[in-house]
Amino acid sequence: MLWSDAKRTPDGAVGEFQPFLEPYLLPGDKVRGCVIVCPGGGYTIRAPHEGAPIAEKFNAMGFHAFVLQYRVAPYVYPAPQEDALRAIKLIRTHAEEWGIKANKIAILGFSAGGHLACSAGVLYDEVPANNADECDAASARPDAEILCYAVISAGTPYANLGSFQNLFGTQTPSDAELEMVACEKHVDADTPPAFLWHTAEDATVAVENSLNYALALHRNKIPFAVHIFPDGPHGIGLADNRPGLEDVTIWPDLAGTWLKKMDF
Amino acid sequence: MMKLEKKMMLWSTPKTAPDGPDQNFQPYLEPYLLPGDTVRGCVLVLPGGGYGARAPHEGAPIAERFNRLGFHAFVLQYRVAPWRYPAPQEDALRAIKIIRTHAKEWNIKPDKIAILGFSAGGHLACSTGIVYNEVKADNGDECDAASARPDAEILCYPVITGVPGKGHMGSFENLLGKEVPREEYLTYSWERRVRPDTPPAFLWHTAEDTGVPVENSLEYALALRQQKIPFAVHIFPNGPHGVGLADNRPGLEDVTVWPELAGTWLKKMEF
Repeated sequence: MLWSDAKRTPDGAVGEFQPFLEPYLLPGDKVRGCVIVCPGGGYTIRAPHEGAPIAEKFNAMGFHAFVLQYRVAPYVYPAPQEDALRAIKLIRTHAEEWGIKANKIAILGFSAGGHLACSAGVLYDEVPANNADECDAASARPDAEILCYAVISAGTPYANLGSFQNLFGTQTPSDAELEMVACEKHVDADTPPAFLWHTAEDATVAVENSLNYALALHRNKIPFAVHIFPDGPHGIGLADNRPGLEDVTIWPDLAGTWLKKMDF
Repeated sequence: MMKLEKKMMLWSTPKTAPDGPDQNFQPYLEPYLLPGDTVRGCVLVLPGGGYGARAPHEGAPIAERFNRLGFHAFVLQYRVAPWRYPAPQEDALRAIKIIRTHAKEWNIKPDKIAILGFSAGGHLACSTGIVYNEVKADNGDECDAASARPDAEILCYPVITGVPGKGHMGSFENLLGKEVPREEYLTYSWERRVRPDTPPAFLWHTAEDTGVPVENSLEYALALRQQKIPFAVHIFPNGPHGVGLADNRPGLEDVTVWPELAGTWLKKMEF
């Protein structure tokens, strides 16, 4: 469990769902980088195919991993972000015990989970994620991000409004609310490097989310990679067993190579 | 009929360079046709060189790579400076017309002619998809009637935009002449001229390219998206400008996957 005290939903009641981390640590003494996996689901569910199988894939490439079961609706902003930032602090604090390189903690997310991962990289100083324990002192900044057909932008014509309606608990989030979580507008010199991938035909989360974020990273001289595959609908995860999408199945290898080049 | 030979001159009448005595160079095609009867798509390769040269490592090795992926290929040795716009474009469009006219003889699918270019060769490749009706590429022969529009484009760390700060100014100076004011470069900035009939494109680039910034690829992709034209983009994290196949480059092993990704893309479109 992430927190000592039970979290409450906006109505004040103790929430049925309490957020937690599922560890996927490789055996042995080798100190490795790690990947925190945030499944997608529009900030209203957490999709299983974007959780465990992904952690296992990154294990197979030699990284420790965790799946983050973060708060979604009816919880509202900044609950998911608190969970992600708390997870990073927890892992960083216990890195030595767990054989994890403390400065090689990547966060990976799909769709709205991608927005969560991306927002962790821009809001780590704005959203407090304290639990009144020794983890509070750790930095909540992810060292790298892997963004998979991610919701990133808010308030633009190509943004995925549904995710933000769920994140803010209203059909009509305000301009100020959307501005706060429009990740491409908050990129600066401290924003972590990102590896993005998307399919050009994604009809749910427009590919402009990835392309424009890459441009923002480039303008701020932040290292990045982007892979836009020509075919494939939204939500394909590992893309295995999908006739016609064999080219997409290389994305984890490309992401793994990218992490290894950065000494993860 | 056109004879297949190592150097196939594009034009019946030699072209005259703009500033005086004829240059020794005349543009030509080098064929790389696979043996056998299988009718295949083809890739027309345009080496880079800032519109001032043609880089060998972005010619023959690329054609051979696409041969190994199962496509016929050609390398186009096109006119560069001191020739100006639209000379390179005339050469590329003429090449497409020649290939399309002779497709049946050469076992090429006439509606599966892809154009591939590196750097300024990418600007040239991209331009054919935009100006194929604007720039005349006639030779007074039967090829004149063929369409000059490429069916697909593979753009490799391409020069596309002439916007200052993002564009590779040297390529535009060579293409248009140093005396032409920079505002004119916008006319030849293809991200601003994408239309519904612009061909699909596969782009790749390295994020660290300091010669031709990655905006060239990213903004062209966004423009294709605006017009709902199919595309793919692969921006690899590391690597300088001009890596070609990227083989024998320690640290750039991930980049070597680009020809396969491009080949798969072509196959999906029945090349």
